[in-house]
This record gives sequence, structure tokens and C-alpha cells, in this order.
Amino acid sequence: MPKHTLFLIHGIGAHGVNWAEQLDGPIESLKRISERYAYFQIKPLTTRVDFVPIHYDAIFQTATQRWQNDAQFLQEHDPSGLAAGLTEWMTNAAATERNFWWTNVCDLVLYRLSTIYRQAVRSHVIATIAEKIEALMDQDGSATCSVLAHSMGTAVAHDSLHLLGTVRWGGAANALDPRQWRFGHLFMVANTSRLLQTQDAQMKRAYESIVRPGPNEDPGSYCKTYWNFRHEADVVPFPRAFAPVGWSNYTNVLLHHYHDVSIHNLTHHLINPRVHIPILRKLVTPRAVTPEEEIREVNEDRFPQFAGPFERVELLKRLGPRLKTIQNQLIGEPTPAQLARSLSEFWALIANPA
Amino acid sequence: MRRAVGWLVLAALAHATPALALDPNDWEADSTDARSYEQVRIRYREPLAALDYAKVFRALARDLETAPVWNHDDAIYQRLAASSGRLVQLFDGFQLPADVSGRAVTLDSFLTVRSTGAFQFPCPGGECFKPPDVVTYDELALIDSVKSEDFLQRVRTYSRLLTDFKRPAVRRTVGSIQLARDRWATFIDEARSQYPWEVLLNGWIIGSGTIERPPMRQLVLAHPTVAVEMTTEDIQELRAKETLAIEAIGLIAYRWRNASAPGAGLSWWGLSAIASIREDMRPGVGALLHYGRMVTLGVTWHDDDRDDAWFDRPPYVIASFDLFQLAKVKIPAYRSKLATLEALAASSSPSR
Repeated sequence: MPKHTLFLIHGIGAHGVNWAEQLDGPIESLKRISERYAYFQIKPLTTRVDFVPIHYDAIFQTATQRWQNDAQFLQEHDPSGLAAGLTEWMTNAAATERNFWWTNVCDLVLYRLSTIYRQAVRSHVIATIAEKIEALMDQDGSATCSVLAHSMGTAVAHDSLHLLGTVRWGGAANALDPRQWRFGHLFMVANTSRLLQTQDAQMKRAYESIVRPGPNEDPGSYCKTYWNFRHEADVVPFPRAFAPVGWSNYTNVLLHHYHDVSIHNLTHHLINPRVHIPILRKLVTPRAVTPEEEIREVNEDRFPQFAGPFERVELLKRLGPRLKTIQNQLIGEPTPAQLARSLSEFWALIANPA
Repeated sequence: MRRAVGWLVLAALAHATPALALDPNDWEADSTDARSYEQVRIRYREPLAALDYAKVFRALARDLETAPVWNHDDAIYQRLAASSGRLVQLFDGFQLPADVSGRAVTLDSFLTVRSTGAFQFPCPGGECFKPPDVVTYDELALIDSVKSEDFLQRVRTYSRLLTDFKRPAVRRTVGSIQLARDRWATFIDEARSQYPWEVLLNGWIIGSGTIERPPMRQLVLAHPTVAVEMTTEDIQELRAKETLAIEAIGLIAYRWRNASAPGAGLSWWGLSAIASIREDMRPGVGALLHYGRMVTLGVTWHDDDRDDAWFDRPPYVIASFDLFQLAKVKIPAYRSKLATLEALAASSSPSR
């Protein structure tokens, strides 16, 4: 069976060309996570899945670099000093370190409000996907593809897939429209496709587009299953949250774990078995993770709600019921012996709460 | 006792998943199998060379009807046969012409009105065909592997033949998508640079064009640039002075040098109303004409005699340039020239 191709689409923030291959990136994270399951010890993930990272941040970086250059030139050469003062705020626009406004907010603003950068990003993403599909069809005679997108990347993925499947490219019949071909699965993490939806001429709103699950040849859908992963404390996908009604083969997974301060981070989502198990099963085979392995992995002992910087919260969570038990022993008029026993248990628990 | 054990084993086998059931997700096609795409291509090379897909799909449907592995009452067989019959219908009376241009037109009209996505393989999300004939991988995993193998081989063959059939259309679609990407990349790269407020204004007023073609107009608003002003009063005493030119409002119009080859670049012209701000005299007003990425020329009038009349004195000629484009085009060229000169100097220096 040919490999399953997974397109990875990043979110806001500075991303280099190798964003997905980094140690804490989605590829290495999924590879590392998959090794917990017996199936992947025999057939490693990369023998079954071909990861195709898509990098569009360079287009935004072109804009910020251009503004920085213009502003710096004005700083040096403006004889009046007027424009230099007005454009001073742009002199650091292209810096990628400690530059939250320009690397994060600016991406969002440019994608939502700048039609030319939005279309340039979409055309780049569409072309990357289409070229890969064509290459797979040439090489394997078929293309089995899914998409994993994060944060603003979900909006980019939504818009790009809708256009890929609906435009009559070059005025001719679209050989990749949903009546002829479709994606397997869409995995949307911290979904912003409603928040950033636009009314460009060829676009449709998130609930009205073809980016939804449906049967083969259905012209109104472009994938078989749609997975929406959202963390309960993540504010990014909160406004205009993605919550379609009545979609079949649509699954919404609300996450409650706290293993990192960056709860919005893609990898922080992927480490949760309620996220990576469906992804691994859908990409490879339902047998890739057995029901027993799933029960083991979702168990609180194996995957606690709080870990890392939140480890103490987990500790306090466990400590609470045990303290309550000791407290209950002392209700009413405890005997001196009971009092001594309970106090002894209390001191032992406090001394060694783990 | 032996007999009882035998009955127990039989009962267990009857109720269990078939021992030889295969996982369609892990299935590898045997290309030497007579039903495989590879063998079908060899067997039907003549009709395929003549692009007579209808004949091939009819022959494959007949082959399925006589396949010994199936009982015609099997639910999965019935859905497979119905889908195979649909494929025959799809191509019934359809023939691709031999000439390439005619083929493109015919294929285009075929794909406009007919759908082939039900035969995509590996089946998207483990669902083969379309309602009401859907067969899932879960169902295939529960039947005898001889049957599921037959099913998978046949669907793979249908899919790959259809991929061959649609290949020119896929090439055309992807080619148009690449062209669109190249147009946008060239537009972002070569169009006149916009400040953030201009980007937002143009998004609001001009819009997005289409995904295949960037907009061919661009508004200019409060665009500061460093320029050089020259007096025209006396050519013998030509003096140049640096100034800040602020294009209050303007319009740029673009044109592709060759829309089918965006790499050939954009040509453009534009006109802006400007204010010229210098440290040695009162602000001036004028107009700036853009032609292409490098030529930006205009005239300004200053009240340089301070009589509150701006147009009673000869105008100044003003010239500017797109800073970003200049830096991008010229600096690498200068670096390259410098490197060449340094290499030349090093090679021609007398040996010690």
C-alpha cells in the first residue's frame, strides 16, 4: 500500500523552512509518540506516512523585511525627519526573536486584512499540495492525502482546500475537484477557520465551504473525516469557535491537560493520546493502536492532567482527597488513639506527599 | 473426546473473524496477479493504446461476473458489480480522440459532467465507491481474504486506469495552479512596495483579484519616500537636494509582460499627487509619474520666494526610486561586480 501523505500547515509566528522537522516539531513528536505502540515498533511511522511540511511564513517575512528596509532607509536619509519619526515603529519589523507583534499578530492581521498577502499564501499552499498530488499519481498511480493544520494554519488550510477543489483552474474542468478526488482526513488543531473566514469572490464561509466530510463524489465535501481538537484554556480558537451542527464523520475533541505553559503549541496537543491515537489510526490502520494500548495511554497514571510546570497541581489534586479522608476520621469526638493515628498519618502525608 | 474437540474448533472458526482476513490498510498488491493493473495494462494494451477505455471496462465487468471467488448473492459482490457496471455506463459511447487538442477538449467535457471519485484507491477514509454501494475496509476485514483480495485488486485496477485516463487533465489543472502561484509570487516580488496602511487600504478598496490573477491596480496613500529635487531655473547652475516626497494619493496600473509566463515580470505605470518636504524651504506640491520599477519622475513647485504663491516660480524636477526594489536588484549586482573586480585585482597583482 502506498504511504499516506500528511500535509502539515503551521500557524502564526516565525517559522523557518524546517519548522516541522525540528525536535519539538510535529514530525519528530509524532515519530517519538508512535514508538509507544507495538505496531510502530515493527513498522515505524515513517514507513507508512510521508510528511509534507508546507512553509508559507516566508511570504509574511517578505512583507516585514520590506517595511523594515524602507523604514531604516528613511531613518538614515529623510532630510526632514518627519517620515523617519512616523515609520520608526517599523524599523524592527523583520526581527524573528522576541518580536511578538511582528511575528504573530502581524501574520494574523496580514492574513485577515491584506487581500494580496492572503491570496499569495493560499496560492503557494494550493500549489504545494497540487504538485505533490500530481507527483504521487505519477509515482504510485494514486494519492492518499490528509492534512494536519494548526492555529492560523487551519484557516489557511480551509481556504486553500476550498479553492483547490472548486476553482475551474485555467478555465478548464478541475481534475482535483471533489467529484474526482478527495482527501482522507482533516486534523484541525486550535481551529481558526471561522474566526478568519473571508468573503473573497471565490471563497465560502467555513460552514458553507466544501471543507467538510462527505461521501465519495459529493461535490459539497472534500474529505472523509474532520477532526477538531481544541484545548479548554486556549483562547485562540475560542472566538467564533468552530462547532458545526449535524455534520457526519465530524469529531470534536476538547482537551483538559496542562503539560506546558504553551498550551496553544501544536506539540502540546499532539502529546495527548486523545489527539494522537485517532491521528495514528486514521493515517495508518485502526490496528495501529490497540484498545488495550489506548486504555493504558489515556489512564491518569500514564497521562496525568497536570505535568511539567504544572506537576505540583497534580500533586495537590491527589493530596486533596487523602487529606479529606484523614479529616473525616476526626469528625465528632475522636478518641486520643484515633487522634494520634490521624495526626501521624497527616504528618507522614505532608512529609512525603508523592 | 476428539470428536467433541473437533466440533468446538469448527464452532469457534465459524463464529470468529475469518482466520485469513486481511487488513486492507496493510494490503500490498501483487503485480503478477492477472487482475492487477499491471497485468490488465498488458492484456488490454491495444484498446488502451487506442484510448478505448469503454472496451476495457466492459471486459473487466465481464471478468468480474465470471470470477469464481464470488457468490453472486454476496452483499459485497453485488456492490462491487453495481459499481463496475456504473463504470461501464460512465464510459458508454465515450471515446477519446487521437489528436492531443481534441483529447483535451473531450476530457474536459467528460470531467465537467461525469464523476470518477467513487473509484479512488486506496479508498479515502476506508470507504470505497459511493452510496448506495459503499464498501468499507471494516467490512472487507471481516470476509475471506480471497474475496477481499479480489475486491482490492479490482478496485485498484479501476482506480489506476482512471488515473491514466485523467492524467492530462490533472497536468492541466496543476499547471494552471502553478501559473497562479507564479503570478502571485511575481506580484508580491515586483509590484511597487506598499506600507502597512496601503496594504490594508488596497485590501479594502481594490480587493483580492482572483486566486488566479492578482489585481491590476493599486492605490497609493501617504507613501513617504526619499527623493532628489533639482532646480530648472538655470541649467548652468543645476543643483540637487535631498527631499522627503510624500505621495498623498495615487494610482498604479499593472500589466503582465506575458501573462502565461509570469517570470517575464510586471510592467507598470502610475501617477501620484505629492508633497515635497525639505529643510531649507517651505513644502512644495506636485505630481510624480511612475514607469516601471525604477523610473519615478515628477515636478514640484515650492514657494521658495515666500510670497504665498506656489506656482509663480519655475518647477523643480523630482526623481525617486523604490527603495526595496533598488536594494534587492542593485546590491547583489554591485556585490557581484565588486567580487569580480577583487578577483581580477588579486589575479593581476605582481607575484612576490
